Amino acid sequence: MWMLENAFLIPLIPALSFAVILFFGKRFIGADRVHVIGITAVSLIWVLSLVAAFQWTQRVEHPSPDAIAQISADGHGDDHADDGDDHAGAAMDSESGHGGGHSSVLISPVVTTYSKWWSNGGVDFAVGTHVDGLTVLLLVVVASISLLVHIYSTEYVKGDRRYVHYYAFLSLFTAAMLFFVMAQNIVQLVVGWELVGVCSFGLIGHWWEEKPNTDAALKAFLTNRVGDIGLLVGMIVLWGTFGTFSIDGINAAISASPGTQHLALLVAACCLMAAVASKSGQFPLHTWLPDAMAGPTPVSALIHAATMVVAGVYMIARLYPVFYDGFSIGTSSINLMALIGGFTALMGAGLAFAQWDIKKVLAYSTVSQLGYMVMALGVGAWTAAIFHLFTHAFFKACLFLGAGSVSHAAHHTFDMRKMGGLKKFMPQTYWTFVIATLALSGIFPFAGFWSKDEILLGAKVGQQNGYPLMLIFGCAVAFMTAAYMTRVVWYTFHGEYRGHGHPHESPKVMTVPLWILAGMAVVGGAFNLPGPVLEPFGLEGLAHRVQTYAEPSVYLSGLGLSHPDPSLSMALIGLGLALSGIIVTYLYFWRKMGPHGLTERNKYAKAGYTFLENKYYLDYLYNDIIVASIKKPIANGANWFNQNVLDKAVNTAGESARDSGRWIYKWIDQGAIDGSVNAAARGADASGEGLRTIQSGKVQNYGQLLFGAAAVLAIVFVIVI
Amino acid sequence: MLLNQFLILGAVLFCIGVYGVLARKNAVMVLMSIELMLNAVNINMVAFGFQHEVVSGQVFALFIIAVAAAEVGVGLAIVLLLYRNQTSIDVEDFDLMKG
Amino acid sequence: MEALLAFTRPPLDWHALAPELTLLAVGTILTLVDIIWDEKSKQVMPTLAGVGLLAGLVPILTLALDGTDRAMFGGAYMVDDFALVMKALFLIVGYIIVLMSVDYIRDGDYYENEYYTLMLTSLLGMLMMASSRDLISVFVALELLSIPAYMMAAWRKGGRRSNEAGLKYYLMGVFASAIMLYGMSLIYGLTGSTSFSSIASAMALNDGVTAMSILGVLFVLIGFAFKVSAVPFHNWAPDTYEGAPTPVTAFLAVASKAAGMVALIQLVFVAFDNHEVIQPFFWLIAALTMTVGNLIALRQTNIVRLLAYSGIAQGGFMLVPFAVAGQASERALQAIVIYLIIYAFMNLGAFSVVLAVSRKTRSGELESFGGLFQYAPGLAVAMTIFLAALAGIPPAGGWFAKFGLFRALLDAGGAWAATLGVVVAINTVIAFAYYARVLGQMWFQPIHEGDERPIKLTSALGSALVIALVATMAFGILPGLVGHFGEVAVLSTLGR
Repeated sequence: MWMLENAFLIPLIPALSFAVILFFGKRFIGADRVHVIGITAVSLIWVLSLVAAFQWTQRVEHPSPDAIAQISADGHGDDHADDGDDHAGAAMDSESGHGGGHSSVLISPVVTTYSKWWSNGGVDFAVGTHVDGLTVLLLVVVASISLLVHIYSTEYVKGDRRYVHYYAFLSLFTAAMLFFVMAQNIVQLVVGWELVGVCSFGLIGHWWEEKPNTDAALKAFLTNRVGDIGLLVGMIVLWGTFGTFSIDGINAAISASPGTQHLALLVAACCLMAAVASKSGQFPLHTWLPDAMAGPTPVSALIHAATMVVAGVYMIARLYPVFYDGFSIGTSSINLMALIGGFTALMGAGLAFAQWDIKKVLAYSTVSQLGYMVMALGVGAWTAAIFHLFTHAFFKACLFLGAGSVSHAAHHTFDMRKMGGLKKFMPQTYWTFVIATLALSGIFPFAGFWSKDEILLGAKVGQQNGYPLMLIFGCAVAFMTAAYMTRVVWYTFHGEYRGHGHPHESPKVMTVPLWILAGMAVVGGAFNLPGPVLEPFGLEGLAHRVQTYAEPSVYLSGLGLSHPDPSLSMALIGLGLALSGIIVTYLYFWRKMGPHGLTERNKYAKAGYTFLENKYYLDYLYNDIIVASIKKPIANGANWFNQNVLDKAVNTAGESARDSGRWIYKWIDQGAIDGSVNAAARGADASGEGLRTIQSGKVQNYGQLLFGAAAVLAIVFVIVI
Repeated sequence: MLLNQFLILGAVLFCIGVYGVLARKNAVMVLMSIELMLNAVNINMVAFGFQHEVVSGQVFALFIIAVAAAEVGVGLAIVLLLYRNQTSIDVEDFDLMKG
Repeated sequence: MEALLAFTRPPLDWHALAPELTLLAVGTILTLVDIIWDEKSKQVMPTLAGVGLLAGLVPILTLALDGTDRAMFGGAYMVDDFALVMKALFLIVGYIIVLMSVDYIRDGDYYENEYYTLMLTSLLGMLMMASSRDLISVFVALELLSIPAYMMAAWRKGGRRSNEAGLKYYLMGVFASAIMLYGMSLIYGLTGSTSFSSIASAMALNDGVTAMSILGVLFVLIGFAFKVSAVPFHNWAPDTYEGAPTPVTAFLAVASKAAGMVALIQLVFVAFDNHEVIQPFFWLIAALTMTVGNLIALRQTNIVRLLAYSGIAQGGFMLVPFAVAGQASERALQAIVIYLIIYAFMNLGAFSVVLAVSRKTRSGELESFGGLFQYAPGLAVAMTIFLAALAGIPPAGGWFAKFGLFRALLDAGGAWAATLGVVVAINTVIAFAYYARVLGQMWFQPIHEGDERPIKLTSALGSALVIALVATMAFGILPGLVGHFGEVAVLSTLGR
């Protein structure tokens, strides 16, 4: 278990790489070769992450005595006496095969403390690492995506005049994120959180010569600062309540006696929720995320798909007992977190319809999917959320890198109106994009299907109560996601090429990462398959791996968290919604734009005609009048129905989705929210301006103010006290 | 009884001083007004020292007199500087920096 | 006559006075050297002053190692751990400011010798302030540190702005000290003593708050609130800061403010214990100072003025713990000391960068920072760190200061403390907005007037920058360092 105890190496390596690139890169290695250092470092941490992941699975499978937590699974919560054993049947069955029975013992995280960092006024503060299943999962995700982005970027930002700066910041960003995920205490968590924010500031503003980019960078940073107030206050409340900074300590304390600190936890959870909203792009602090697409596309893939924006989700998962208790997730059927998540998911999906910029569609899609994860956490589906985080990272990174590849080909535009028909120019990009789209839409058997299904199931079953509203939101989003992604595929890859110049396929160094990610988008779901799916193959033992390994049941079982049984009907509903989303969009675009549309549409008419014509043949000889009288209205009716009802319905659905998306974008997103943020800023500005008049420049006015204030204060105090 | 009269004298002097500082435009007059305020303090100090029958009040007053001399010295130097550069000692004239 | 003859000199503890005597001696030597060698002496002046300040640290170290509290003049002058920590801070800050001044003063053709002498004198006043435990000695220390500062603010004799800065500082300064003295006279009348400990015990005896005690306490606090430029007693600060030579501005914004804070600490935590007056007073002016300082800073276009308002707002943060001085005295005191130490270094750093940049651009406007990153990346990164520290972003130092603040508020508890906490949190965000404007200028804007010549850092200014940078980062990464000083200071002040 060496790697788990020495996990500090993992963030240290990219941090060193950052320093080396920044200070020695240009001089000793050559500005155009600095990527070698970055890629070497990230490869190294990728391997180390895999080692850590492997060692963690070993710890779970064959726990040594010191790895088993002392508290027993059924020590708390009378109504949840069987929590520890509440895993799906298949996982239970597999226990005998593993001897130990991993789901009934609680594996404690590896908490390593290196040294006392500072000690002040009776508060000791240690620095260290906290490694458990969740950590190693994030390590693997971050390292993998970062590695692929590093490789992909060698081509994408080739020749950029801040190539060195770019790679340095990629390394630093990776280091910050890794530092963040293995934080041992909430202070480290805050430090990591801020570092991640600073790095994203640097990367979003990478091309700072253009004003929108710098505005976007500033907006991202400022919005995040708003959330940071919540983070600070929340963390201080937690520290004040439990008297410890240690994440392990806080979680264990809540888990040991749930419900005793409900009010404090409610306050803390609400404050932290604000932080999550800013970092993970949740309503109403999501507006920075689409603007932040101004950065280089690989960075968008790294920051806005896979790593930084999931920081908020990760923090909820990390401090889940706080939220679980604070928001009463176990007993309610609606709560702030689920509502924010669900609403964000819905809103993001709606907004994605209205965008012409391919990256912005993906950005809103990210907002929507993050909302999904937050909603899942809000309904108590911890594993589902983290599993979705895992699968989403791969297919969303694939989509972003695909978009980058498209833009690389199509003269650096992201406007979908200037694309189209790229399928034949760049088949590699096209197919990987389609695979990722299917995964995102939740089509069987791609990765997204499995994770989305679990979220919907989690919302339906909930904990003690179901979350019906969240289920409706989830279903609507499943439908809309499939629809807008199909739209993107249509505009980008099908139809006629609307841009100018000659698009071309990207070089191998870009397509290979795409294929790797696409591969993960296909098989990613295998990591948490439900038992019944594997039963026919005799592989039940491999079911629910994410749940088994990643879930910190040592904290969660005390809260009484339960897992729903897999449900075939729910899976079919989810799949049906996704498919219908694709089909409706397909019909819509095909009818509106496709040259094959006319023939296809006439087939219904033709079928009616043929049918009627046959009938007509049969009765031709002796029923001419009847046939003649019937034929025309029915044919007309069928035609009318086809033209007016079916087409209109499809048209209206599409148009209204688009229009409402536009409307929301224009008035709510850009108008109300941005407007209110701007108004607040203007208000502060204006009051600053007003206050400046005090500063008249005349020294006697200053004296009058000084003495006047003194006199007023004196009078008030004398009277009041 | 005696004490109150001293205190009232001190307070009146102090108020006149404050008025002078805030209202007079001539920088030298402002300096003089500050001297009035300081002397009001001196009267208070001496009176209180007398009441409490401790010497520290008088000592304090001596310190104030000494320091006020230094203060006024610097103040007059600054006023002189202003007069030399701007040929004005009207405190209203100096509002180059504001806002 | 008999009484005069019977006078015996109070026993003097030469060791305890050694830092002050060192400064005095060096100041005298500077004057002598100036008289004897005249023009030739200019070169050695800053060196002598710097060495003198560092020499002053030696006795402080020996006193700290010795560890016993030394009281003199019947407790009016006290050398305890708190005093030593603050004295060391003043000396180091003074040293950094000497480093910042060297080239500025030399290039500007100012009176060099007198400048350093006056600065040493002012620092001597600050050192005395750290030890003063008596109204008289506080007053003398205050005037000793203020009078040279009035002159330094007007140091550019020909410059109208500098003259005006001096006038405003002087008039407001003496006016505030007159008000403060009136307050002192009332307190003396009430308690019959000038020493802090007797004032505290006398005030505890006459229970019940009288109008006189309220007036006295308020006027004294206002005198020092002026010194730390708390709103609404702040108006002098932006004008003086802008007009004064920049190193003097740094001196006023850091050293002079710290001295005011030191006096406030002693008054609030030792002398006055009528918290029903003190706490609401500080609650009000802390909230006002933070908010007004930050809001006006939003609209500033001159970098020095922006830093001045930022300094006012930072002062407001430092005043926050005073508002809970009654409920959580230890934590509050510690928070102030820690904030003071960290603030000194991060603000001096920011001023050093401003000095370095203005040496090239000859401008104090915000635009002069445009594109700094492109031709002076090192300075841009340093400034970014200082601003991040001022904004309270880890890992740069400032976060620990803010953390201490919140901890004091948290310890105190209650609705008022919580409200103040919210005000602090909101202000942290507002503050970020204008720090971000400077950052935006440096990183994203075109180069000011297209002048891409690199900035040549002189060795003195560079050293100042490095010291400030190292300290800022060290306090952020190893907050235990500064936390320790805070604890030491608390122990000796509160006597626990």
